[in-house]
Amino acid sequence: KYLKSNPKAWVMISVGLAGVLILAKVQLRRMKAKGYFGAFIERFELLPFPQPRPPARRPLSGLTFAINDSIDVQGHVTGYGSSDWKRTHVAAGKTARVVTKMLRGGATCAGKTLMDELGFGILGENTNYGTPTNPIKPSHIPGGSSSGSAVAVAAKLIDFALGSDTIGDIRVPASFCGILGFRPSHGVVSAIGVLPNSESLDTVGMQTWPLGHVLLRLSPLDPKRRRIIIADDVFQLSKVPVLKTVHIVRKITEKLSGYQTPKHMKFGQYIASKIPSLNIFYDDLTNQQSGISTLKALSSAMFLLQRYEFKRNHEEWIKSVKPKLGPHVSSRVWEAIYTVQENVESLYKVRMEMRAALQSLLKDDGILVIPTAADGPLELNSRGLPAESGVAIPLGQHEDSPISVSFIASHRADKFLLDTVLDMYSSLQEEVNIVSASSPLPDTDGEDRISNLPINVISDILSLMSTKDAVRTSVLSKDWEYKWASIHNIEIEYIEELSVDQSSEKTNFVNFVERIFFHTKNLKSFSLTYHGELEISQMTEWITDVLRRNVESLKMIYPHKGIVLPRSFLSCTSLRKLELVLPCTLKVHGSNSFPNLTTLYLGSVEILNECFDTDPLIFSFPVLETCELVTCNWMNVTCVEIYAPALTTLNSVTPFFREFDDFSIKIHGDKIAKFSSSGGLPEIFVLIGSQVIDAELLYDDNMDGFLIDQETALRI
Amino acid sequence: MAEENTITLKSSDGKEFLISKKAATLSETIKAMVEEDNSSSVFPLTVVDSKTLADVITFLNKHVDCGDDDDKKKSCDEEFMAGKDDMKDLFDLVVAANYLDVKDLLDLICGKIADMMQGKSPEWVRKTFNIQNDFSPEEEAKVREEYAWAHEGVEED
Repeated sequence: KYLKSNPKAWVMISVGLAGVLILAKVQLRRMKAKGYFGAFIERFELLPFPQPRPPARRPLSGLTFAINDSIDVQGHVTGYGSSDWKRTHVAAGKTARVVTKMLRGGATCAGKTLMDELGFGILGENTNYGTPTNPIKPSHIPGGSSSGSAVAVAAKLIDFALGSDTIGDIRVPASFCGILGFRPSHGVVSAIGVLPNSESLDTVGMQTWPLGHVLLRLSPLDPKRRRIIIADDVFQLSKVPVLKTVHIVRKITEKLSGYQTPKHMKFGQYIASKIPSLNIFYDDLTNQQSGISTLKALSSAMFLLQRYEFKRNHEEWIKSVKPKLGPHVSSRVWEAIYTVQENVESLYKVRMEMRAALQSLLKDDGILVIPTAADGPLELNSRGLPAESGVAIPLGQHEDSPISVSFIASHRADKFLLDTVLDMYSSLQEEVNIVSASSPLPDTDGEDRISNLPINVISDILSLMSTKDAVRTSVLSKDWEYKWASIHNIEIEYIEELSVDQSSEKTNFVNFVERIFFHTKNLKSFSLTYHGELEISQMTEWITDVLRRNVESLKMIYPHKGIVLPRSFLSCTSLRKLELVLPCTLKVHGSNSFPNLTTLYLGSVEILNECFDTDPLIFSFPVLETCELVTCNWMNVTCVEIYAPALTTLNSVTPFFREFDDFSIKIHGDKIAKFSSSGGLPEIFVLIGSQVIDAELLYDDNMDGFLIDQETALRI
Repeated sequence: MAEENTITLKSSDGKEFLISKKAATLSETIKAMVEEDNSSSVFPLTVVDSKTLADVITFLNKHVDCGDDDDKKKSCDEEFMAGKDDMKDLFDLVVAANYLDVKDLLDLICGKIADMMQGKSPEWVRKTFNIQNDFSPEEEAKVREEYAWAHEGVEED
């Protein structure tokens, strides 16, 4: 309540949140050695302000936090996630107000964390400084733009982090890394000393690690009843089963006192009726009534607003410095700079109407529940709704990826929002644990049913687990010692820990893989993700072995250079699905065929033509449907011809390097419906015979930066 | 005409269930039976009891209703699995799905069982599924050592 009368009270609230959640002060994996999951740009220590007299217990004492690279610290250059920005700016004269508040509260600042360049990406990838490693799921991106902070919190390097949230920059990475993310209402936290991205949307938010159980300092709750409203239509877009989201929230509201029975609504339809100004932002005019297209329109309107203001803030600098940016950020930035935004007034109207719509729906006692991000990294356009104030709450995992729902409150209802989160948080986590340990109701009659299942059923069950889990069944009983060898999928993920001694674990790992190869017979699919470094010969041997087994699906993720793919690769006709994120070399010549391949993903692969002559390299993929080529280099060749009559989707991030100026990839396929290409080198692709329906070409050329619009793309 | 499109399945305990041919033949086993014997309309399933068969039939009907809509199938499956916590029912169902050769149902139940075991210690799995450990401590230690990496980082439950 006092928040309404005094917005500046936010800091007290957030201090409360941090205090509550961090109370049980885990043994933080303090920052020893190097690494830190690549979360930090700069390490320094700002000690808390001296104790006031008489000494009082301060809310944040003993806590460590980090700040985004968009927040000023006196004497340090604020880098905005970009080395070029850092180079062209001077050290800040003053420390941002929000930071001094935290120091005054007793917390210690441990440094600056990585973010997407210029706060304008959402993947959490950074070309200048590298991509921080998602500690919850290392094979996944951390999400952005506040990537390093989310990683540092999730890895327990710090207790909480501050960063700016424009449209989801705090909550999205929080959801990817399984931590709490809080976006306060716009204008409630001082943004003095924080670089602007889009000032109508920017807020300074917080990410923190949910420790949950011990709730101390719980400020008294308003006794008023809370209304929980669940946006059913938005949850329907999510791949996460509602059992793991909506049902949990429902159950807890029923269990706790002070909550009305949750209401379900179609949020998209509500928005459609309340935000008339949105009607010019639909991308699909035929389908205006559908709630989903409304949400998309809303999301794109907010993005356009961000873009418009971003351009206003940074156009001059970007045009004069031409900063080095990653492909994803680069395309977004240049798109922003070269777009002349029409309907600016409508954008601001949408913003106002959105605020009013939430206000009338939620008033001061309602909480809207939505998924934080509409399904993982790939849904680039849906970054969660542009909320007023919202908290992303982790709810366990689904298929090994963190689940997150957002609680949204109306403008300036921050105190009410945080109170509600505090009230529900520990019960939610308990329920998550119950659901995820789902139904291990041991047989009351004590009968062992699983051991007597037919072996093909056991093989199916074990093939659905990670291979590590499957192999662990060998120790259950004599009967089980070799049951696991019946698996037909191998899926192994290894993450090199930052601990001092790697050798024994590595040896164990290599033995493990060797034994698996020795015992398994009928492999259909093989997937190895290895974060660390192994002997090249070892990796090559494994790849050769897998290919010899005629697998249908092969996936390899390994970050180090040096592997040359064995020749048998080109004659492995059984492959249906191939995914290599591997800086390896593939030697080819003449004409090559992959008769059964339907899905192809190559990342960082170098394709080397062994016999250079003027004839083109030819690949034929008779049944290939989806093809993605990400920064693959083509060496010793001027022309590549790809025959892919069944290809429907082609995505490419073109390399930043080519040997010959006239190098081109000709693709023969008349079914290509979706084509997108970005990256460093334009005009590499020549599509022959295709009628692309949905094309997107975004390039930035260091010379003058240009865009090919959809029309031009179609003419290619 | 309607009768031609339905068949009767008879459970091991003698109960009869009417089901559309379309739904029934999602089971490869029943499909083969029907193709082999076009004249009959009652098919005895000697290894599936009535409780389990009723469940299987619910599943098959739902899947026919969903058609090719994968999203719909997914939410149907979720609904179908909700509350299926009883270990005996679960294993009866997986055995039936395997016998009747209903791939979607088999995958679904196997996935559920795999989820239960995923990330768990051998002790937990033994306890939950009543598996008797007949290794001697030395034998067990040896197997454990052979696959040492598989046991790294597993939390005690």
